[in-house]
Amino acid sequence: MIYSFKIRLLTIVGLVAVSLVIALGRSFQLQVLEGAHFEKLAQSQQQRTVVLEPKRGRITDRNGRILAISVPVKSLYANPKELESAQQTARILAPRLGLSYHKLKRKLSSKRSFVWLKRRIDPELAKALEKQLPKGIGFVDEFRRYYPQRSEGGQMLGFTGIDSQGLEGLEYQYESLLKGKPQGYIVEKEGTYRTVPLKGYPERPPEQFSLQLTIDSRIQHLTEKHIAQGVIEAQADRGTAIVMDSSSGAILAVASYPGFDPNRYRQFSRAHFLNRAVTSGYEPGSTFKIITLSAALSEGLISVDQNFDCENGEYKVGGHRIRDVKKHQQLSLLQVLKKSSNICAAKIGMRLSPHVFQDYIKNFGFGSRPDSGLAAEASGKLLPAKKWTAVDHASISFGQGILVSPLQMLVAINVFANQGKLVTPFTVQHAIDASGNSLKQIDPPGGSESYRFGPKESKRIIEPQVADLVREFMISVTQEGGTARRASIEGYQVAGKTGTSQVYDPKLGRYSKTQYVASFGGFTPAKDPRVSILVLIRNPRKSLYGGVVAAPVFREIARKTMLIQKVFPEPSQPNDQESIRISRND
Amino acid sequence: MQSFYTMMMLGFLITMGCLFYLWQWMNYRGIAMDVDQLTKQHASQLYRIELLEVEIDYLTRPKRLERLASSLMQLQPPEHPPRFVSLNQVREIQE
Repeated sequence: MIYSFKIRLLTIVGLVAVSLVIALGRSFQLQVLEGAHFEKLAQSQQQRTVVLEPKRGRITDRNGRILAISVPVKSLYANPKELESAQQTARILAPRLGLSYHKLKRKLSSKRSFVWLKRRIDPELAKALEKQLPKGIGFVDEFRRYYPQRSEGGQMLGFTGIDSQGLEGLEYQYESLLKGKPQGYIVEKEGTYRTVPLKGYPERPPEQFSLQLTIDSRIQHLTEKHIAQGVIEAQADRGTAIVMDSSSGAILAVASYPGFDPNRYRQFSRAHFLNRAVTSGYEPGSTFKIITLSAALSEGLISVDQNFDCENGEYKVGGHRIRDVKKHQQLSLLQVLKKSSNICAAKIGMRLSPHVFQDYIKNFGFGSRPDSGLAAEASGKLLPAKKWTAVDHASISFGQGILVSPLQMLVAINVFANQGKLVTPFTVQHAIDASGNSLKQIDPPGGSESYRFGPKESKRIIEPQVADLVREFMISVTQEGGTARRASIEGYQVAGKTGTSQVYDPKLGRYSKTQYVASFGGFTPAKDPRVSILVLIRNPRKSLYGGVVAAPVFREIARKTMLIQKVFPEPSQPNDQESIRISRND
Repeated sequence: MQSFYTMMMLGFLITMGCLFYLWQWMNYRGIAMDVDQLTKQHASQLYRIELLEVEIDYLTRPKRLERLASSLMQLQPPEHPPRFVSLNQVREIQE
């Protein structure tokens, strides 16, 4: 009995041992000898890499108000190979997706294993569809760019395409910073179709840099509103306005009318996308006279107590006639600017040698990009001094024959608000990384161009005494007898200069007699400037003059900007009964 | 026989060890899935907060506020600077 028990036990132990040896041998074969091969097979069966689409960084204004943001949305796809009936599925989905039945059926009958049905669908619809999705139809999470301020700042911000790539404006300019990099993580598939994240699982989709701009959306709104009103009232083609912080160069608002809504950019023509404040050039006209005067004053070629003969409204240079709007005989230097005489400005400009004059023009920032951070900046056009004829020399002196961008002109005007220092404009205050750190400089890996944000060092280009003198002249322009009386604001002193320039018509090969650019550029309060503003109206039909069509727009923008910035008007004189009456009523 | 009991004990211990490892592994997977779910919930809540932020910014955009203020409350931006007076003038008015 014992013998037979022992034999049976030994047999079982032997069998177990043999089985164990076989199992161990097989394990050795599978895990060691062919381990690498089977590991690959297992990984392909059990694991998969989930790639998270990058979330584009947001763009905010100086107060943190969102100007552009990526919001999660769902996109619908189909795997036609898994569909039970393409016809039936198309019949169900077509009316709900707002697609044509035949078009959808064609997509669903495709031999591919992945087709987009509709990208970025309405969240409500996605929620409704999610509950009753037929086999072979699924959702993919994507992001959609959204601009909550709608058309305000549209040209400056630009927009992104269907794959979240920047196509215009700041979205394009800072593409490498705003666009995140895709990030993958590995998950293990279970028999129940559940997935377990294994490694590298990010908490949220990777987000790249966000940008905080210098723009103030309140000032942006009123700038857009008043430039639109100005263009409509002047029966003009279009208009542009820029508001800049005088001391730092921070751009507070950039507006062009007509604009466009970047949320619906496909509904607008390409001409609406242009940020004309920086991309297009114009001949500045009389606003340029302040450059001519300051250059001649700096070189000591004219003095403040000097009188100039304005030739009674007509003057011949190199066989061409130069005319003034009103006839003037003798004008003082102040009156030359106040009355905006082309003839006297030409005479003053021609006292400077072409090369010296050109150096001053270049020092004021003309002929080179302003480097404001805005997309597609134009450098303008300045004829080389050696090619100047006498007419060119005279014309440039009063702002014709030179092409500048509105921003370049504003930067030049701002020199007189900063006692002769040229301040470089900027649009981006700082970038913010995914951890919330503010960065003033980013050096992308790979040695590509680095980004610098915030104010830059200012550069002295004329002496403070000259700048102050020209500023006094600019103040007189907005006072009684000046060309820009309509730019004056009660309670604030305004310094500025009007401009009315002819537009060169390439078809005619000469200046048009019907097309003009009316502009006004200045700053306020004149003694302690806070904002510098340029308003430009193209082809006004109601009146041609900058002092009539552009100056009132300047006044409205400047006055309200001052209130937003809490710069209150100087109190009225005690004999101002109205103020007391209003206060009593209040 | 003693070696047989030793083998049995060893087998039992190994089985228990394997069971414990299996229990730990299942536990880990359960927690990993819970963490996954919570992380997804957290991300979705963050998105909801972000959407609310966008909605607030959309509803409080200056253009809309100005329109509402003028149409519903008859408010206008101050048009006449003399509405602002100095403190001295206020004192004069009081006197």
